Amino acid sequence: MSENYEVVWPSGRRMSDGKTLAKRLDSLEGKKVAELWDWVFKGDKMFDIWERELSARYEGIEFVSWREFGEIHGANEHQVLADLPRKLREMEVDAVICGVGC
Amino acid sequence: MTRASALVEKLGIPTVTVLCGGFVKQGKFTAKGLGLPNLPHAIHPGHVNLVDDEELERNVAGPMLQQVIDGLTIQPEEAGFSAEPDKRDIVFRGTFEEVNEHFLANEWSEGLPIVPPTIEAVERFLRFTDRSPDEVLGRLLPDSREATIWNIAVNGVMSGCRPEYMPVLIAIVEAMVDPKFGHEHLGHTPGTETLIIVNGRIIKELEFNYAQAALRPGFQANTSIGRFWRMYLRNACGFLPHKTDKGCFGGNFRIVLAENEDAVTSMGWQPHSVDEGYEAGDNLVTITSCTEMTQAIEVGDPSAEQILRNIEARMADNHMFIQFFFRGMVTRPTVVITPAILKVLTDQGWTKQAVREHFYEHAKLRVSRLSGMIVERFYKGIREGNWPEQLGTSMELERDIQMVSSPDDFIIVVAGDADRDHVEIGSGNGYIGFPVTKRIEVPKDWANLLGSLRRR
Repeated sequence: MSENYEVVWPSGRRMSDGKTLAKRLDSLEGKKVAELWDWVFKGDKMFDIWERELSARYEGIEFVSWREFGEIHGANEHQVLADLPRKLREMEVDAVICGVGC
Repeated sequence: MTRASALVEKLGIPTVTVLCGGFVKQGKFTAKGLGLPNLPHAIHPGHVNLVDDEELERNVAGPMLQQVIDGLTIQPEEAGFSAEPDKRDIVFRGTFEEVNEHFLANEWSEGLPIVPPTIEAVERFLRFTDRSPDEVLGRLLPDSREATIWNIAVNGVMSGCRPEYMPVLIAIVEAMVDPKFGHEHLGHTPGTETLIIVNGRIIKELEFNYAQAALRPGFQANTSIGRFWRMYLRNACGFLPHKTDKGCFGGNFRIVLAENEDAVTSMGWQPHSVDEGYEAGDNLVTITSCTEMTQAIEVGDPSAEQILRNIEARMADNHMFIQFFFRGMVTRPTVVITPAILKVLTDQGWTKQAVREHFYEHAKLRVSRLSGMIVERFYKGIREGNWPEQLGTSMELERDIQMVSSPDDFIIVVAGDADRDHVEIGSGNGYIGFPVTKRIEVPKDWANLLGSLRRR
């Protein structure tokens, strides 16, 4: 007869701090939208298209270019992300489009 | 992207995360690990590198535009997490075969049989550390889980390690969670693999192989500790293929590399530990990204300088250095030389630093050997002004560029067949952090514990 084993779980406790999603906006009219980019996979072209299309649909919408933030995935990632809360607050950003995961 | 979006959501600012179609599952699992399982996405159908500008326009101004609008203006439903076991909870009872089937079904093993992690087996590992099993070493991504002494022991048991390897396993995880290494990037598409280098007296105490077949399975310490690395990434960090691990091809875990310190010191060099700021003989682990490995066969020559030129020619054979010119990152190649090569070098007066400087000056890549998107990456790096001293500032392709930022970027380790003239060269090729070295802390009664094993 084969030996029986009582075994434990190989993982560990979650350290998630119970975050919930931010409250969504009622409308994009008059709102300031920031662009965060990892500087690869055609994000520059995508953001140009969204700036054009969203401006045509929502009066007063403004954009903060990805150029203002630096590359969010690279050698400076930790510093760029550390600076992000202050920058977003100072710029009074209402929403963020973040890409491109490929 | 997802980490940045999670940070922004925490500030109370809504986000939409842009992904290519093949990355939706990874994005969702990564977001879940960060506590945001319902993070909204805008998804490009397929990979953007494979479409022309017209098709990109149709996708981005079409369905993706609506996803951006919806993601920023429609509140998704919140989703909670289900309860999970505590560390000593028995999650399954069964025979060896049944345990293995259960672990496979739950994605807790990689396909090879595991040693059942019973509480008794885990406690045997815990005897080889003075630290509390509840000690938290850091936060493991993408799942945002605790790295603990306990779950190190559990995965060590499963991987076929011996209990006395526990101090090495702990040092490895301490290196993994060091932010300098950037373990959170290990699920990216280049499929970064990691080389673990061991130095110190513990090499002989634990019977690591550092001679012929240094990187071949067949030696328990080298093999099972290498397996542990990927087991821990799977079970504790949460890197799962087809989910959060998006390695395009991936690769096997690497066999742990132990340095031949006898050869090094007998020929007048210092081991790698000294390069990292420690004393010769100190027990250390170094982890470094090593996705690409190429072997320079028969670099031997009576002239030490010709040997170096032969090694340098082979370094330029592959694209290990993309991140150097593209993102301006420091790239840290590992060069493993054999005692036979070391003897020619040292007989002709070459110090390790002089070898590094020769590699730095003479290992060069012909830019015209780059092609396609990688040439675009090169142009981007030149436009950004990355490393002008090493890369120049011209867009001209018919020229040679240096591949690292400084002689000290080369990690040189001595191992392998003492009589052969091959050299192994390894490096990462995707974005990842930097090598990390940690001291292996053995328990106070280490000698007695090892002695008791040998008396059995």
